[in-house]
Amino acid sequence: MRVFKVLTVCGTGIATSTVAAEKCKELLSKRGLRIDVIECKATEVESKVPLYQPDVIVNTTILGPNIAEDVKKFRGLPFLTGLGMEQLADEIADYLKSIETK
Amino acid sequence: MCKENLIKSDLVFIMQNVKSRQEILEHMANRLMDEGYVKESFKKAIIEREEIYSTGLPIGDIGVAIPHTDRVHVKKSIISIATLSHSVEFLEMGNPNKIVDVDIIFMLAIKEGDSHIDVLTDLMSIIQDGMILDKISRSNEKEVALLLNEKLHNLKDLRANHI
Repeated sequence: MRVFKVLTVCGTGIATSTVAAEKCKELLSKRGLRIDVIECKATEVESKVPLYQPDVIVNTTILGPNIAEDVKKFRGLPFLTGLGMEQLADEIADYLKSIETK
Repeated sequence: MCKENLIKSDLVFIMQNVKSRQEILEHMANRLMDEGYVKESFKKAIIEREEIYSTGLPIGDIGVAIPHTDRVHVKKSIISIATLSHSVEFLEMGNPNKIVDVDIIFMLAIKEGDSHIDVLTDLMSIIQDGMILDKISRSNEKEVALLLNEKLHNLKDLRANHI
Protein backbone atom coordinates (compact mmCIF):
# COMPACT_ATOMS: atom_id res chain seq x y z
CA MET A 1 0.00 0.00 0.00
CA ARG A 2 1.23 3.42 -0.88
CA VAL A 3 2.52 5.79 1.76
CA PHE A 4 0.88 9.19 1.36
CA LYS A 5 2.79 12.35 2.11
CA VAL A 6 1.13 15.12 4.09
CA LEU A 7 2.62 18.55 4.64
CA THR A 8 1.17 20.51 7.57
CA VAL A 9 1.69 24.25 7.61
CA CYS A 10 1.37 26.84 10.36
CA GLY A 11 2.22 30.49 10.98
CA THR A 12 5.18 31.21 13.19
CA GLY A 13 5.95 30.76 16.84
CA ILE A 14 4.61 27.63 18.41
CA ALA A 15 4.08 25.19 15.57
CA THR A 16 0.37 24.47 15.50
CA SER A 17 1.37 22.48 12.43
CA THR A 18 2.91 19.83 14.66
CA VAL A 19 -0.27 19.48 16.68
CA ALA A 20 -2.23 19.18 13.45
CA ALA A 21 0.33 16.72 12.08
CA GLU A 22 0.01 14.34 15.01
CA LYS A 23 -3.77 14.45 14.93
CA CYS A 24 -3.83 14.00 11.17
CA LYS A 25 -1.52 10.98 11.33
CA GLU A 26 -3.56 9.39 14.09
CA LEU A 27 -6.92 9.84 12.37
CA LEU A 28 -5.74 8.84 8.90
CA SER A 29 -3.99 5.74 10.25
CA LYS A 30 -7.27 4.75 11.87
CA ARG A 31 -8.81 4.92 8.43
CA GLY A 32 -6.31 2.43 7.12
CA LEU A 33 -3.93 4.80 5.39
CA ARG A 34 -0.16 4.83 5.62
CA ILE A 35 0.93 8.39 6.19
CA ASP A 36 4.17 10.28 6.35
CA VAL A 37 3.88 13.82 7.72
CA ILE A 38 6.27 16.71 7.75
CA GLU A 39 5.60 20.21 9.07
CA CYS A 40 6.77 23.63 8.11
CA LYS A 41 5.98 27.31 8.47
CA ALA A 42 4.03 29.26 5.87
CA THR A 43 7.24 31.03 4.79
CA GLU A 44 8.90 27.67 4.04
CA VAL A 45 6.17 26.08 1.92
CA GLU A 46 7.45 27.11 -1.47
CA SER A 47 10.87 25.61 -0.84
CA LYS A 48 9.56 22.46 0.87
CA VAL A 49 6.97 21.46 -1.73
CA PRO A 50 9.28 20.67 -4.66
CA LEU A 51 11.60 18.71 -2.37
CA TYR A 52 9.00 16.74 -0.42
CA GLN A 53 6.30 16.58 -3.09
CA PRO A 54 3.37 16.15 -0.70
CA ASP A 55 0.10 14.57 -1.80
CA VAL A 56 -1.83 17.06 0.31
CA ILE A 57 -1.24 20.17 2.36
CA VAL A 58 -3.06 20.70 5.65
CA ASN A 59 -2.74 24.32 6.69
CA THR A 60 -3.67 26.03 9.97
CA THR A 61 -2.75 29.39 8.50
CA ILE A 62 -3.56 31.28 5.37
CA LEU A 63 -1.61 30.36 2.27
CA GLY A 64 -1.53 32.76 -0.67
CA PRO A 65 -3.43 31.66 -3.78
CA ASN A 66 -0.24 31.16 -5.77
CA ILE A 67 1.45 28.94 -3.23
CA ALA A 68 1.76 25.28 -4.27
CA GLU A 69 -1.10 25.62 -6.72
CA ASP A 70 -0.95 22.01 -7.86
CA VAL A 71 -1.32 20.52 -4.40
CA LYS A 72 -4.71 19.88 -2.83
CA LYS A 73 -5.15 21.82 0.38
CA PHE A 74 -7.31 21.25 3.44
CA ARG A 75 -7.84 23.76 6.23
CA GLY A 76 -6.52 22.14 9.38
CA LEU A 77 -8.45 24.12 11.98
CA PRO A 78 -10.63 21.15 13.01
CA PHE A 79 -7.49 19.26 14.09
CA LEU A 80 -6.82 22.07 16.55
CA THR A 81 -10.30 22.74 17.85
CA GLY A 82 -11.45 19.13 17.75
CA LEU A 83 -14.71 20.24 16.17
CA GLY A 84 -15.33 18.51 12.85
CA MET A 85 -12.03 16.65 12.91
CA GLU A 86 -13.50 13.23 12.12
CA GLN A 87 -15.26 14.74 9.14
CA LEU A 88 -12.10 16.44 7.96
CA ALA A 89 -10.18 13.19 8.32
CA ASP A 90 -12.87 11.46 6.21
CA GLU A 91 -12.52 14.10 3.51
CA ILE A 92 -8.75 13.84 3.40
CA ALA A 93 -8.89 10.03 3.44
CA ASP A 94 -11.39 9.99 0.58
CA TYR A 95 -9.22 12.32 -1.46
CA LEU A 96 -6.07 10.30 -0.86
CA LYS A 97 -7.81 7.05 -1.77
CA SER A 98 -9.04 8.67 -4.96
CA ILE A 99 -5.51 9.54 -6.08
CA GLU A 100 -4.00 6.21 -5.05
CA THR A 101 -4.44 4.68 -8.47
CA LYS A 102 -2.79 7.58 -10.25
CA MET B 1 10.79 15.64 35.83
CA CYS B 2 10.18 19.35 35.76
CA LYS B 3 7.08 20.09 37.78
CA GLU B 4 7.02 23.82 37.29
CA ASN B 5 3.60 25.36 36.92
CA LEU B 6 3.04 27.12 33.62
CA ILE B 7 0.11 29.12 34.94
CA LYS B 8 0.52 31.57 37.81
CA SER B 9 -2.57 33.10 39.37
CA ASP B 10 -1.14 36.63 39.28
CA LEU B 11 -0.98 36.33 35.51
CA VAL B 12 -4.59 35.22 35.25
CA PHE B 13 -6.93 38.11 34.54
CA ILE B 14 -10.60 37.65 35.26
CA MET B 15 -13.53 39.53 33.74
CA GLN B 16 -11.43 42.02 31.83
CA ASN B 17 -13.42 44.86 30.32
CA VAL B 18 -11.70 45.85 27.07
CA LYS B 19 -12.81 47.30 23.76
CA SER B 20 -10.47 45.54 21.38
CA ARG B 21 -8.08 42.66 21.01
CA GLN B 22 -5.21 45.13 20.80
CA GLU B 23 -6.13 46.43 24.24
CA ILE B 24 -6.17 43.06 25.96
CA LEU B 25 -3.06 41.82 24.16
CA GLU B 26 -1.20 44.97 25.24
CA HIS B 27 -2.36 44.63 28.82
CA MET B 28 -1.33 40.98 29.05
CA ALA B 29 2.01 41.59 27.30
CA ASN B 30 2.79 44.53 29.61
CA ARG B 31 2.18 42.40 32.68
CA LEU B 32 4.34 39.57 31.31
CA MET B 33 7.11 42.09 30.73
CA ASP B 34 6.70 43.62 34.20
CA GLU B 35 7.02 40.19 35.78
CA GLY B 36 10.14 39.37 33.76
CA TYR B 37 8.77 36.62 31.52
CA VAL B 38 9.20 38.35 28.18
CA LYS B 39 11.39 40.96 26.54
CA GLU B 40 10.24 44.42 25.50
CA SER B 41 10.03 43.24 21.91
CA PHE B 42 7.32 40.71 22.81
CA LYS B 43 4.41 43.15 22.90
CA LYS B 44 4.84 44.52 19.39
CA ALA B 45 5.67 41.07 18.02
CA ILE B 46 2.60 39.39 19.44
CA ILE B 47 0.21 42.11 18.27
CA GLU B 48 1.73 42.17 14.79
CA ARG B 49 1.71 38.41 14.53
CA GLU B 50 -1.97 38.28 15.45
CA GLU B 51 -2.76 40.54 12.52
CA ILE B 52 -0.94 38.28 10.07
CA TYR B 53 -1.50 34.83 11.55
CA SER B 54 -4.71 35.12 13.52
CA THR B 55 -5.33 32.72 16.40
CA GLY B 56 -9.08 32.83 17.04
CA LEU B 57 -10.60 29.38 17.62
CA PRO B 58 -14.35 28.89 17.82
CA ILE B 59 -15.06 26.12 20.32
CA GLY B 60 -18.81 25.72 20.19
CA ASP B 61 -20.38 28.70 21.97
CA ILE B 62 -17.13 29.94 23.46
CA GLY B 63 -14.49 31.77 21.46
CA VAL B 64 -10.87 31.24 22.39
CA ALA B 65 -7.66 32.85 21.17
CA ILE B 66 -4.12 31.51 21.57
CA PRO B 67 -1.88 34.48 20.71
CA HIS B 68 1.84 33.74 20.63
CA THR B 69 4.99 34.81 18.86
CA ASP B 70 8.56 33.65 18.25
CA ARG B 71 10.33 32.31 21.32
CA VAL B 72 13.21 34.72 20.78
CA HIS B 73 11.05 37.29 22.61
CA VAL B 74 10.49 35.03 25.61
CA LYS B 75 12.69 34.89 28.71
CA LYS B 76 10.77 32.38 30.80
CA SER B 77 7.90 30.11 29.80
CA ILE B 78 4.42 30.98 30.99
CA ILE B 79 0.82 30.84 29.89
CA SER B 80 -1.19 33.92 30.79
CA ILE B 81 -4.96 33.71 30.72
CA ALA B 82 -7.66 36.35 30.46
CA THR B 83 -11.40 35.97 30.63
CA LEU B 84 -13.39 38.85 29.22
CA SER B 85 -16.53 40.48 30.61
CA HIS B 86 -17.74 40.84 27.05
CA SER B 87 -16.23 39.24 24.00
CA VAL B 88 -13.88 41.01 21.61
CA GLU B 89 -13.28 40.22 17.98
CA PHE B 90 -10.36 38.13 16.85
CA LEU B 91 -10.00 36.58 13.44
CA GLU B 92 -10.15 32.84 12.94
CA MET B 93 -6.93 30.88 12.68
CA GLY B 94 -6.22 30.15 9.01
CA ASN B 95 -9.26 32.13 7.90
CA PRO B 96 -8.98 35.87 8.50
CA ASN B 97 -12.28 36.50 6.73
CA LYS B 98 -14.10 35.01 9.68
CA ILE B 99 -14.61 36.79 12.97
CA VAL B 100 -14.46 34.91 16.24
CA ASP B 101 -16.03 36.52 19.30
CA VAL B 102 -13.43 35.65 21.90
CA ASP B 103 -14.22 35.19 25.59
CA ILE B 104 -11.04 33.53 26.82
CA ILE B 105 -7.46 34.26 25.82
CA PHE B 106 -4.50 31.96 26.40
CA MET B 107 -1.37 34.01 25.74
CA LEU B 108 1.49 31.57 25.19
CA ALA B 109 5.04 32.58 25.98
CA ILE B 110 6.99 29.36 25.55
CA LYS B 111 10.75 29.29 25.56
CA GLU B 112 11.76 25.65 25.26
CA GLY B 113 12.34 23.93 21.96
CA ASP B 114 10.95 20.41 22.16
CA SER B 115 8.64 20.44 25.14
CA HIS B 116 6.63 23.28 23.73
CA ILE B 117 4.97 20.93 21.30
CA ASP B 118 3.82 18.78 24.22
CA VAL B 119 2.53 21.86 26.03
CA LEU B 120 0.64 23.03 22.99
CA THR B 121 -0.84 19.59 22.32
CA ASP B 122 -1.92 19.29 25.96
CA LEU B 123 -3.36 22.78 25.98
CA MET B 124 -5.28 22.03 22.79
CA SER B 125 -6.93 19.00 24.31
CA ILE B 126 -7.87 21.09 27.35
CA ILE B 127 -9.22 23.90 25.19
CA GLN B 128 -11.32 21.50 23.12
CA ASP B 129 -13.25 20.60 26.26
CA GLY B 130 -16.19 23.00 26.39
CA MET B 131 -16.87 22.05 30.01
CA ILE B 132 -13.43 23.17 31.11
CA LEU B 133 -13.79 26.42 29.21
CA ASP B 134 -17.11 27.02 30.87
CA LYS B 135 -15.56 26.36 34.27
CA ILE B 136 -12.72 28.76 33.55
CA SER B 137 -15.15 31.51 32.61
CA ARG B 138 -16.81 31.15 36.01
CA SER B 139 -13.71 30.82 38.19
CA ASN B 140 -11.41 33.24 39.97
CA GLU B 141 -7.69 33.62 39.36
CA LYS B 142 -6.51 31.01 41.82
CA GLU B 143 -9.12 28.47 40.72
CA VAL B 144 -8.16 28.88 37.06
CA ALA B 145 -4.46 28.44 37.83
CA LEU B 146 -5.13 25.40 40.00
CA LEU B 147 -7.45 23.74 37.51
CA LEU B 148 -5.19 24.20 34.50
CA ASN B 149 -1.92 23.36 36.19
CA GLU B 150 -3.48 20.16 37.48
CA LYS B 151 -4.79 19.23 34.03
CA LEU B 152 -1.46 19.96 32.39
CA HIS B 153 0.45 17.91 34.95
CA ASN B 154 -1.97 15.00 34.55
CA LEU B 155 -1.54 15.00 30.80
CA LYS B 156 2.22 15.22 31.16
CA ASP B 157 2.22 12.24 33.56
CA LEU B 158 0.00 10.24 31.21
CA ARG B 159 2.46 10.81 28.44
CA ALA B 160 5.43 9.89 30.60
CA ASN B 161 3.78 6.65 31.67
CA HIS B 162 3.14 5.63 28.10
CA ILE B 163 6.79 5.67 27.15
